[in-house]
Amino acid sequence: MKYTNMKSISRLTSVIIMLFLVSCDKEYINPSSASSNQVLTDVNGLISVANGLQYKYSVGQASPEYTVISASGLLAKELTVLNAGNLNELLLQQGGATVIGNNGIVTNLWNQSNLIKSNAKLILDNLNLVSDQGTKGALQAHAAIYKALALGNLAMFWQQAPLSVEKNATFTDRISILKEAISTLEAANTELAKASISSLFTSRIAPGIDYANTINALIARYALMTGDYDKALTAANAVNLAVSVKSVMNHDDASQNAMFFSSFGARNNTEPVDANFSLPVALQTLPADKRIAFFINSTAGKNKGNASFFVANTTAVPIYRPGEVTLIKAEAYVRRTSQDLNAAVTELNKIITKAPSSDALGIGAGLTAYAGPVTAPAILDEIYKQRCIELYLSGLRLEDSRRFARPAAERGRDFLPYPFSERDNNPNTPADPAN
Amino acid sequence: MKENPYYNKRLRHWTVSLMVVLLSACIVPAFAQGPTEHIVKGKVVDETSSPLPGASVVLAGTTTGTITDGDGNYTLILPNVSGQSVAIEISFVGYRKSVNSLIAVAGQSTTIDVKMEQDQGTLDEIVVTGSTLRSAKRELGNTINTVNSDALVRSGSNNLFSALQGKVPGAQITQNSGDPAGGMTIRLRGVKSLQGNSDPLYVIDGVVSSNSTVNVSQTALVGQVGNESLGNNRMVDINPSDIETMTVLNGAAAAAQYGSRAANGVVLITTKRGKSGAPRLTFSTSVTMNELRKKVPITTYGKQYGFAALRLHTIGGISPAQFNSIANPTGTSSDYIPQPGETFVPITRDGALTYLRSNLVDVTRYDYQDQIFRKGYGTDNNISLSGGNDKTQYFTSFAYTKNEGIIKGTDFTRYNFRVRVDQRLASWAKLSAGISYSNSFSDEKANGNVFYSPINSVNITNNIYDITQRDAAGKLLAVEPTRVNPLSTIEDMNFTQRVNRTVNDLQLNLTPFKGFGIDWVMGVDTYSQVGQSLIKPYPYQASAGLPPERYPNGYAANASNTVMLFNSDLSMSYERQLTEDLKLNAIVGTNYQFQRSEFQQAQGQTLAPFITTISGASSTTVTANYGLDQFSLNGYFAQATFGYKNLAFITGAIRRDKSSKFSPSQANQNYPKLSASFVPSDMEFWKNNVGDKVISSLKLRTSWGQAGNLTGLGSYDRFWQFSPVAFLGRNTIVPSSQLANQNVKPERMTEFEYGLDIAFMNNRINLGATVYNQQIEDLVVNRTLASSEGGTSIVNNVGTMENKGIEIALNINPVRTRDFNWDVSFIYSRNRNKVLKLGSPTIAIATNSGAPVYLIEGAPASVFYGTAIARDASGNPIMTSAGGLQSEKGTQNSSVTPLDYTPQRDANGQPTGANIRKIIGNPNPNFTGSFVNTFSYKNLSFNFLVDFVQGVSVFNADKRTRQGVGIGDYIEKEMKGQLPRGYVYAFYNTEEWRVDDGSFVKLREIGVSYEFKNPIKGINSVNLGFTGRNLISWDNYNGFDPEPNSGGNSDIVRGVDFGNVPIPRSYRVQLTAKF
Repeated sequence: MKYTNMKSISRLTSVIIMLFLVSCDKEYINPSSASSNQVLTDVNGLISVANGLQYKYSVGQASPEYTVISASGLLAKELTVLNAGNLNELLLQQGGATVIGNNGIVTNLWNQSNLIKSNAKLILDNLNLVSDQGTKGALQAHAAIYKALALGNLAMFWQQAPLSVEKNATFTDRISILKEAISTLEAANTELAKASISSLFTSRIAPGIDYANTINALIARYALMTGDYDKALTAANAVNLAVSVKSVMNHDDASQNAMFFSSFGARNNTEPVDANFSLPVALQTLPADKRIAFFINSTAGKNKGNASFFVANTTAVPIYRPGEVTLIKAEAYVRRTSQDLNAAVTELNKIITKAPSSDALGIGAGLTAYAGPVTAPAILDEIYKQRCIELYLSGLRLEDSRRFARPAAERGRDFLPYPFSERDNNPNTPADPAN
Repeated sequence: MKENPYYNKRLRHWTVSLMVVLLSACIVPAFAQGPTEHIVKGKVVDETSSPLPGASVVLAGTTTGTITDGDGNYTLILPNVSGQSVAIEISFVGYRKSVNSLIAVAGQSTTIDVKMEQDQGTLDEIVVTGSTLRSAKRELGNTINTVNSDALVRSGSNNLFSALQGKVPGAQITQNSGDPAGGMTIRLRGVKSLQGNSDPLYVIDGVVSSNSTVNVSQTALVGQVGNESLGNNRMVDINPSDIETMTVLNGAAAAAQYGSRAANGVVLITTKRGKSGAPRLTFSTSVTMNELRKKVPITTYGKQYGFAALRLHTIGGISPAQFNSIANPTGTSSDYIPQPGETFVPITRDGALTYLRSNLVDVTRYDYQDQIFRKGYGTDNNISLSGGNDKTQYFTSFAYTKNEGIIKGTDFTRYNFRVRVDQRLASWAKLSAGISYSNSFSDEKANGNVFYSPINSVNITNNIYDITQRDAAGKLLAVEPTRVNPLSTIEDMNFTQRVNRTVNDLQLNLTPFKGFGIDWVMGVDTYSQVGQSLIKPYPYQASAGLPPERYPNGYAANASNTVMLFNSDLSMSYERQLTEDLKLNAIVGTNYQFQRSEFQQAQGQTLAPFITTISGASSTTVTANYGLDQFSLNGYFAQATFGYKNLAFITGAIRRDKSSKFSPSQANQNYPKLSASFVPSDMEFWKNNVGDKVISSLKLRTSWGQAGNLTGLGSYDRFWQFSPVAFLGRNTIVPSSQLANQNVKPERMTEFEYGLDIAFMNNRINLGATVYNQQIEDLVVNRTLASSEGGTSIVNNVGTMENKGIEIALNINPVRTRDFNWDVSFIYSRNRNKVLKLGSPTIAIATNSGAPVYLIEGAPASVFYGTAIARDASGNPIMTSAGGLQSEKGTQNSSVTPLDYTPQRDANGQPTGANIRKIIGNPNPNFTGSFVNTFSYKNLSFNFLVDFVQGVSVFNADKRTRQGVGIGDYIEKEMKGQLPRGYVYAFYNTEEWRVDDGSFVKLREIGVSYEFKNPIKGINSVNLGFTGRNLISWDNYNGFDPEPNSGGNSDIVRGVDFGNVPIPRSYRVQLTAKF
């Protein structure tokens, strides 16, 4: 046999061995995604997941930015459906027994809030790997804010929700959920105060949030809902209300403003019912109220909601509005054990007389001071009215309507039923509320 | 015979190496060379004594052989056989194998002339059972069906799968769209997977080929659709004229060679080969005309409720508060100010009161269907040249086809080249190489699932606007606010796709010594799809106020998908007569498959004037992404068949597979198979007592086997993916809401089938019947999770499903004379699919059409589960006091048993309680079948095929849309007073109203052709044929066509009619000349 023959035989043999043996154990990994043990063991990975929380919260029709504003807006009758083909929205507007656990908005609001809660937990559980306090504190603050917002959403729309992230999670009443939100925020506040925010964090996190003020504003919001008025007042007083301070979730052409994109950009889904903030005649504001023009687009053919924080794909949406903080103070002064009605009126007047230019977000009534009776019921009515206007389309209307014990007719439902996806897969899901 | 000894030796040494490396078995090679040769020659003719070119002549037990030339002559040289008793086997597909024994003597020659007997459907027909496997039908324990090139030609379609419609028992073949490149799906014996597709594995000449659907041209709607699978599937690249046969392996047992990819069945496609003899030229050309078979009912009655500008005039109402404010205004902006003449009628639905308009105003209505449909023309041209000698044969072809769709601006163009060369290297070695290239281009319009598609823009727009009106600059004008002018979908949107594809194979067949063969097939299928999407900025956006999802400022994108599939199949077979009665066929083999696809996409919005590509998009809107998907599969298999006296056969096989899709602990999977067949009609006892005239043959068969399915699991689905998203210029990663199980494993099907093939009266009547039972376990389900668990779904092996069914094929040849032949065949298939376990009681399948598609334990896959029409005990609807339909109410007993509910009635017998949900429709047909009739008289032939699908539901989303928008047939009756006002409003939310019976009987094919034999010198024959396709449908369907599939090629979303292009009626004239 010739040498060349030997050579070709050995070549062929090696090709065959390669084809049939070596290739067997190849494992293919997706280069366009990462794994949990990569992302959650790296500081930059954690910060990118922190941005992911905001993305999940604010982008798309499934996001709370759309579902919270729409569900509260439709149930508390801020919004009306323009096209009966939008069945999920239509049924929320009709309310009552027509809202069942297969409603897409109800399901999205529940699912996304639970996912944000569990994704925030991924960060909070892995903070120990961050050595720099300036990064660690800010990361904790960021995750805590989104966890609190997610818990807050669950507590505002459902009577109970699970706190833990696990199979067959048990349900906890809404007040305990809100208290967990508050304690998460308080823990983050402590860590955040230990060091100034690192440049690493600032350079990698999506800009827009003022952490310390947002934490206090949210503590005040949820403390008010739990009836802890002293805590609400203390936290509200800690929020800097200067014109220069605001806290927003930003949007751009690729991560669009969810309400604008899915609803207010056209007249095909929903829009504000009227220019009176859907208030009964007795609570309607004066035509001179500058907030009407701020919140309502009166151009013919335009969606009435195409204004305020829903002007374009790129409009930023505030996490809290300064007016909310002031109105929390007013309400706390009325409702706390050591009631102070005059202090409440003082806070209330800050809202009624505020010029748009002295509000960080440009919201201002520009009216004359409160002249009604200085009694608790009258002041609470005025606070409710001002909240409905100042916090129009912020997703708080349903909660407010319940807390101020407004007539049931002003709400489609008090609480939402649990989504079928939860009920079918978690035997601990409680019975649906009748209304 | 002169051979190159050097070459010969080298090949033999290769063989030895192969055996050593791969078999590690001790087979003693018997390579003794001798000078003795015996020559066998002769002529092979068919029943009419016409020469039979291309018949295979083989020394039994070896691959020593040749094929007949153009005149049917052959010469075969038998080496090394002196003094032995040998058998010469002559075979040709469709004819009974002829076996001729002789004693070989050195230096002598023998003449064997053979008249072959037609043998289609009989037991000695040779069928392809795998890339490297062939078998006589009698040895198989399972059904196998073959469709040949004649049937492909007769179908009058340039789509390969159209030709299979109505011809394969157990196969449901659906055309998913009437687009000229519209996808077709084949489902063999029902749905097999709940997560992946149920598409069979396609193997072209041994090359594992892609039929996948990747959307590169309709990227604008990706975020708006659910589980629909949009676009062309890639078998559209194949030229049907190049195909010789298509063999369909329905069952798991049949497809053992393909192991973990065989559960969906296998379609083996064999292309044409050259035949030795003078070059043969075949030319064919055809012209096709496509047209809309039936319009949908759209009213042109010149009335509408309320006032002309009122949208959804039929169902748009005002609230009681608004109604009260007309009489008692509150003086606020929430008061309703009625238009002149506006009157109202109160309607209660589901306990809620609404006031609908009851006055009618005059409007002018148009039928926009006339603006978007057209007659489309097409042409299909093929030229092929083939020939060769006893050592080398070749086949070459070129084809050009272009077909216009019935929607204006849609067409499909394809060029195909193919070359196949067969070369005999030595008496014991053969090489075959196939190369094909195709280039296709399709012009599409937006897919039906969005409201800017041609069909849906017609369905969703109030037809009171003259859409042909233009402004001074010639631009289209706005129609109803937020709606797209239907003409914009034709004139100002372009979605295109260009595909370059090549499918190549290299095959080596060796027979180093008697009874031992080695077959090696290597194949590569690679293609690139390049798609472009364009939606021009709407000139009328300022007045129309289109929502962002319709891309008011324009949209442009390009996307590409580059795919490579490689496979290598090596098998070694050994045949040996163990005793006089007992024969062994053993095969061992390995198989390696690798698949890679790379997807890239860039898209942007807000286009600069005049620019029609992504280059003109506003920079802030541009996003890009890249995806890489790859996996490999390694398999080993062994199979042994024992045959007893050519009467009874038993086959056992096992395949072991390892795929990269699974974690190492789950990667190795074994798939066993057992089958048996028995031919009592060949027993002496039977022959003597029954005889050919009564029962000419009878075969009993049974098989049991397991096969796997990988389609349910994405290459990376066993990992919890943390995926990047574009967000505000900062690195952002979102943990997937789909959780993962590391240990997920392949889906496994266990199938048991048994059946018989029986022929009566000299094979004039053939009946084949098969009963099967498939149990599919470890089904991969993306099951819903309670989101409190940290995700909304998880991919896991929690499902089980079954398919049980019957397949019957009956062929009758009532008349067979010299001039006149009449063939009738009848196919009946019935499959019962049931999801047995799902991991959760129900899984909702997301759709964009509003179709409530569900997987439910205890129900067939993909049923429609939703709100039902309230009915009394005898099944008649319970009408409301206003004379409308209403939803069934009561209580759903438990979410764990979603199918149980208790209806409730109030004192007046009216439904009360909450709306309940039940199964309102089933898209899995009760049974399907076909009837084929062929007459031929001398050179004239006439055939037709009637296809039927019965007991199937269609979710007719468009029917309701037309009523709500106020352009449908029901609302016309309402406006004319033939139905009470509010009739449409009453049923509007009741999902069952949208479920229609989709049963049909269709005249699928009808054709007549005449063959001129030797019309002029130099031309062997000219065939002129006329074919009609889908000419008539007998059905009760309120829409274009009862065969809709807006789910596209999805196997989970089926039977949904939502904006999809109807299947056209087409006529074709074809001329074929053979030189």
